[in-house]
Amino acid sequence: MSMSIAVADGSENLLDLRGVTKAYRLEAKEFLAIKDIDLQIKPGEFVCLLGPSGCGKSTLLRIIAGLNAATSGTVAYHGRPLQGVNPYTTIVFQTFALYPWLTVQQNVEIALKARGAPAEERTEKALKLIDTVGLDGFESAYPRELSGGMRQKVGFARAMAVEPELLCLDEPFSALDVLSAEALRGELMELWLKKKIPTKAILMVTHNIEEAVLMADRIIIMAKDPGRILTEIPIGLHQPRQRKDVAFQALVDKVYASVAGQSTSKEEALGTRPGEPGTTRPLPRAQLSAVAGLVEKLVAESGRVDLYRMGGELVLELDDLLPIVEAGDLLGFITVAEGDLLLTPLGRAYADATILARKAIIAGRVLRLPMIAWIYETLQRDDNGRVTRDYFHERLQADFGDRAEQQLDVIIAWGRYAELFAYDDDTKELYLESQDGRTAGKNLALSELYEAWPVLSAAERAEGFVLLDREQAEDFFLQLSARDKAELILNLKPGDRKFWMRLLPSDAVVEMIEHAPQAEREELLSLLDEKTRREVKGLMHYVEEQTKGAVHERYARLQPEMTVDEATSFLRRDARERTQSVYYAYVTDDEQRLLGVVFFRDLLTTPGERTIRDIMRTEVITAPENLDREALRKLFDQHNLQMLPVVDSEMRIKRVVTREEVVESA
Amino acid sequence: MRPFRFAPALPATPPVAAGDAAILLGLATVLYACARLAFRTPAVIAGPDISLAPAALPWYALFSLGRMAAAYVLSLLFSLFYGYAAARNRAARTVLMPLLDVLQSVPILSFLPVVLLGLSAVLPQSLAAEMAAIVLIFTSQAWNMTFSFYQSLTTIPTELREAAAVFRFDPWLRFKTVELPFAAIGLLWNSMMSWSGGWFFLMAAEIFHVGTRDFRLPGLGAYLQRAANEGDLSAVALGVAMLVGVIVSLDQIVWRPLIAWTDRFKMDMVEGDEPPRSWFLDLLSRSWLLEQFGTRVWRPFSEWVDRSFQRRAGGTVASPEPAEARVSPWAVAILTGFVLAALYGGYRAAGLLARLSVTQWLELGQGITATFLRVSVALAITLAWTVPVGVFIGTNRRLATVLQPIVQVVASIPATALFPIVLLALLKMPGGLNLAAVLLMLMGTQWYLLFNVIAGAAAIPQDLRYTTDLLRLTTIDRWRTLILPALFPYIITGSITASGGAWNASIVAEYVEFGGRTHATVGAGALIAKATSASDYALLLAATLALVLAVVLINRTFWRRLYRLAERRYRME
Repeated sequence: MSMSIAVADGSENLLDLRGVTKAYRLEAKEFLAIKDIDLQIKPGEFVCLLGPSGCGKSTLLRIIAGLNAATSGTVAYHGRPLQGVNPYTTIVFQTFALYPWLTVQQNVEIALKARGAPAEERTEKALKLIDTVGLDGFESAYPRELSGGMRQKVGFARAMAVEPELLCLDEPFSALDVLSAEALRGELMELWLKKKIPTKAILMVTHNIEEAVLMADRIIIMAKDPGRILTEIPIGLHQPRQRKDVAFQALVDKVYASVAGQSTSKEEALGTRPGEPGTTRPLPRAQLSAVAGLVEKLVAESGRVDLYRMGGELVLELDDLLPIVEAGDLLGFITVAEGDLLLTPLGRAYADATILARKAIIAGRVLRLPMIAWIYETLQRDDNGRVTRDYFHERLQADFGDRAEQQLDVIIAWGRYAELFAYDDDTKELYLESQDGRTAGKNLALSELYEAWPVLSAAERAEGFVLLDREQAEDFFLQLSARDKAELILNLKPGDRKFWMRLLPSDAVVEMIEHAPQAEREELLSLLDEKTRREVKGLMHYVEEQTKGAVHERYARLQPEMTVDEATSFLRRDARERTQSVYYAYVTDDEQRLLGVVFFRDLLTTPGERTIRDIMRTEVITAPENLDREALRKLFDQHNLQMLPVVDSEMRIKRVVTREEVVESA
Repeated sequence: MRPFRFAPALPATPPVAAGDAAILLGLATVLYACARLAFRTPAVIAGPDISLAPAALPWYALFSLGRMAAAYVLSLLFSLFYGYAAARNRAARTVLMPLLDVLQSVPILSFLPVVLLGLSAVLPQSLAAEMAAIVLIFTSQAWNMTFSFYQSLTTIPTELREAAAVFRFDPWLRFKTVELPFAAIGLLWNSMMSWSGGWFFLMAAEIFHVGTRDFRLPGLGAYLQRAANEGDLSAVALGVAMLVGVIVSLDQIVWRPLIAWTDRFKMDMVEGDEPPRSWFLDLLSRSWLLEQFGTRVWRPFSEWVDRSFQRRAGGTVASPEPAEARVSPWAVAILTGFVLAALYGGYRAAGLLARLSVTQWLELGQGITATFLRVSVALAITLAWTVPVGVFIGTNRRLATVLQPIVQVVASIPATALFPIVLLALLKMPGGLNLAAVLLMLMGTQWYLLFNVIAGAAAIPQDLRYTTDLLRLTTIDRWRTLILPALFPYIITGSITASGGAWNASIVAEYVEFGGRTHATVGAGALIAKATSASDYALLLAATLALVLAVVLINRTFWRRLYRLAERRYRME
C-alpha cells in the first residue's frame, strides 16, 4: 500500500518551520526546550541536526513528526499546518523501538496493518523489504536473537514499509558497534542516492560529526540553553564521500570548531550567583577526574591537540568530550581555539603538581565559580556547617528548573573532589568537611597579612601566606615585589614552591631570580618546567651577555653554533625590539654565507642543548641576484613563500625580497 | 523461545500428536461434568449438607475451582479497565490511584457479612452465598493485579509508545501489540499471587455465619471444615490431598505453561540462560488440532476484530501521551454521584459509630493492641526461621533445586484449609486459640518471606561472597557486613506483604466456631467476627475502620520508611 500524496514539484518546501518554540512549565517558571526555530526542508535534501545533548534536537524531531506539539510558531507540511501525528513521516529510533515479542516479519507487518493493508499484501511487502535490507532468512527470528545492526535494519525496513515522504532518523547508528554502523550507513546511502526508496527527504539527528559530514547535504548546528539553531553548514562534497579526503577533513574540522566553540563562550564567563541578576552559568556534567585525565593527555601531546582527533583517540563521543572540555575551560586549565585544545600555563602547573598541590589548585579554581562559592559561603554561614540539599535545590530551580537536581549533583561531585564540602546521602545535607575553624579564620588572615607584612620575618610571612585560601593567595602573591616573591618562595615547603613559580610569566621569573641570592638561583630554576626554564635561561643570558647573532630588519640571522636555548631567547628579545615581525631565521657563517633556515616550530620542540646546526634545514629556496620580477613571482607562487633570500654566486645573502614587494611592483 | 534456523525444520511431528490426545481428553471431561450437572446433579452433593463421602470430593473441588475462576475473570477484567483508565487519563488517575490504595488495606473478610446480607435480600440464599464468595475472592485478587497493570502501562518505554504513534496504531492495535504484551509478565505473576490469596479466603468463605443464619456452599473448604469439626481424620487427609492435587495440577497445566509462553514478552534484548519451560506447553505446541484452530479460526477472527476496531477508530491515532486532564461531563456526573453517596454513607456511618459506648471503644483499643502483638509475634517467629533457612537454601544451588519445588507445594496449601486441623490439635490446650491464631498467621505469611529471602540470598553477587571469604570475616561479621545488608530490601518487601496478610488472617483466626462451640480470644479480628455473628453493625463498622486505620498507619509510618531506606541504601546496583 502506498500513500497517495499530492505534491507540487520543484522547490516547494516539504517542511516549513517558523518560529517554533517548545516551552514547558515547572512550578511557576517556564523553560524553553527550543526557541524560535526556523527550518525548511526541500524535496531531495538530506539534512542533519547536530548539537550537544540537551540542545533540543530530538524534541525538534518529535515536533516535526507530530509526536509533540510546539508551544508557539507554525509547523507546516506541504504548506498546510500540521495537526496531530504527521502522516508523511516515520522515525527510525536510536533504540530501535522494535516490539520484542514480535518476529522480524511481524514487526514490519504491524506498520502496514496499522494502515489497513490486507493480510496478503502485508506479508508480500514485508518479505520484500526484509529482503531489501538483507535480512532474508531471519523473518521468523525475534529481535533479541539479532545483533544490534540487524535490529536497526528491521527498524529501517519497518520505516520504509509505510513509504514516508520524510524519513526522520533519531541517532539511528549511535547504539551500534562501529562496524555495523558504518555498514548500515553505506546501505542507507545506497538506497537513498540511487532512489531505491520513495523517500523525498531525510532528516537525521546525530551528535556524530563525521557521520553528519559523510551523509548530509546540509548540517544544521544547534546550541543549547535554550535549544536554538546556531548556524548552518552546507556540505557540497560529491557522494560517495571519502573520510580521508582533505576537503572532508577540513569540513569535519570546521563543524567541530563551530560546535566546540559555542560550549565555551568567554562572554558568559563564569556567570553570576544564583538569585543575583544575570545568568547563572550551568556547570557542565563532567567529572573533575576526567578533566585531570584530559590535562594529562594534553601534556603528553605537548600542549596542543586537535579536538576532533582527541575525541577519536579517547573513544569519546562529542557529547561526552565537550562537557569535559568545558569544565577544563571553566577551571582555566584548557582553552579551545579553532578546533584545537590548548593547555594553559595553569593547566601545565596543575599537571606537574603533587597530589596535595593539585587538590589545592582545584579547590582554588572551583571556588572561583560563583555557584560553588555561593554554596560554600552559605555552608560557612550556617552554625553547624550543614545545610539541606532541598534548600539549595529550591534556589537553583529558579535558574535551572528541572535540571536543578542534576546541577546540584554536579556541584556536589565537584565540591567533594575539591574537598570543599561533602554530602550526606542519609540526611540529604551538604556539609563542610573541616569544622575546626581553620576555614573561618582564613578571611581574617588576608587583611592581617597585608597589614603585618612589612614587619614580619621571612618565616612568619610564609606561615601566614599558607593560611590564605588559594584564590586569595594567588592575588596576594602576584602583587608582591620580585624580591618578596623570591624570599617567600624560598621559605615555602619544597613541595609548594613549584606551583608558585609556575604561576608567573617568564619575564617575571627572570626578574625574581635576579633578586634571589646567587646560591639559590639554580634551585629556583629547577622548579620550572623545561620549556619555561629554557626560555628564562635564554632571557637571562641575553641580559648578561652580548648577542652572538646579528639583527636585520626583515629577518633574523643565527649562527650554527648557537644552542637552541640561546637562539630562542635571542629571537624573543630581538622580536621585542622590532616593529615588523620576523618570518624567517636564516643561519649564516661568519662570511654571511647562507647555510640553512630554521623553523620557529623546530626551536620550540627541540631540547635546549642542541645546536642550531643540528636542526636547521639546508635545502633553502633562494633567488639568484639577476632574476627578473616575473621569475621571482613564479618562484613565490610555486613555493608559497613569504620571503626569499637573494644570494650571490657564493651563497652570500645580499638582501631579501618579500612577496608584497614583488606583487606591488608588478 | 523458538530458535531461528537457516533451513526448514524437519517435519518430524506426526499429524496427530500427544497434545491432541490431551486436548480431546480435557474436552471430554468438561463435557461430561457439564452434562452430569445439567441433567442429574449427583446425590451426594445435592443437599445443603456437606457430605464427607470421598465420591463427593471431585465435585466439591470442581465447585471451588469454578468460584475461583469466576472471581478471577472478574478481577482480570476489572484490572484491565481500571488500570487502563488510570494510566490513560490524568484526571481519572488522581481519583483512582489513591482509592485503590485504600481499598487494598481494607480487611476483606469484614466485608463479607454486609455483602452477603445485601445479596440475600434480593437473591435466593444459595445464589447470594455463591455471589458473596465470588465477590470476596474478587476483593482479594483484584488490587495487586490492577496495580501491576497500571504500573506496566506507565513504564512502557517512550520509544515503543512513540513508534506506535508514528506508525499510526489505533487504540485497539496499540493495546493488543504494545500495552498488553508489555504488561503480560507482571500480570501473570500477580495472577498467581492472587490465586493463592483467593484460595485462602475461599476456604474461609464457604461456611459462614451471619447472626443465626448459616450460609454454606458445597466446596473443598466446607468439606475440610466439616471433616475437622467431626474429627474425621481420614476425610481431612483426603480433602487436603485433593486440594494439593488441584493446586499442583493447576500449576502444571495452567501457570507453568503460561510462564513459559509469556517469556517472549520480556523486554530484555538478550536471550536468557535458562528460559522457563513447561512440558505441557511443549505438548500443546505440537498439537495438530491447535494449529488448525489457530490458522482456521483464531487468525481470521483476530483479523476481523482488528479490522472492525480500526474502522471504528476511523484513522485516529492513539496519542503517545496520556490524555490531558480533560474531564468529560459524564465523569463529573459519576464523580459527583460518588461523592454524594460517600458523604451520605459517611453521615450514616458517623451516626452508627455514635451509638457505640465508651466500653466498646476501649474494647476496640484493647483488641487492636492484642492483634498487633499477635502479628508482631508471628512476624518475629517468621523472621527467626526464614532468614537462616532462606540463606542456607539460597546460597546452596544444589539444595535449592531439590528443596524449592517441595517448599512451593507446601506453601501453596492455603493456611485456612489447614486451620480446622490446627484447631483440632490445639484447642484443648490452655490459651489454645491464642496459639492457633498466631500459628495461622504464621502459616499464611511465612512463605512470602521465605521466598524473598531465598531470592535475595541467591542474588548476592558471587564476587562479593568471594571477597568476604578472602577477608576471612567471622560468621557474625559476615552476616553483618554482607548477608543482612544484601537481604534487607528482600526482607522488607516480604515483611510488608506478610504483615498485611497477618492482619487479614486475624479475622479468621481469633474467633472460631468449632465442634459446635464458639471460641474467641481478645483481638480486633475477634471483634469483627463477633460483631458479624451478632449482627452488631455499629461495632462491625468501628472495628473494620479501626483495623484499616491501624494497617494504613503502620504501613505509612513504619514499612514505607524502611522500604525507602532499602531502596536507597541497600540496592545491589
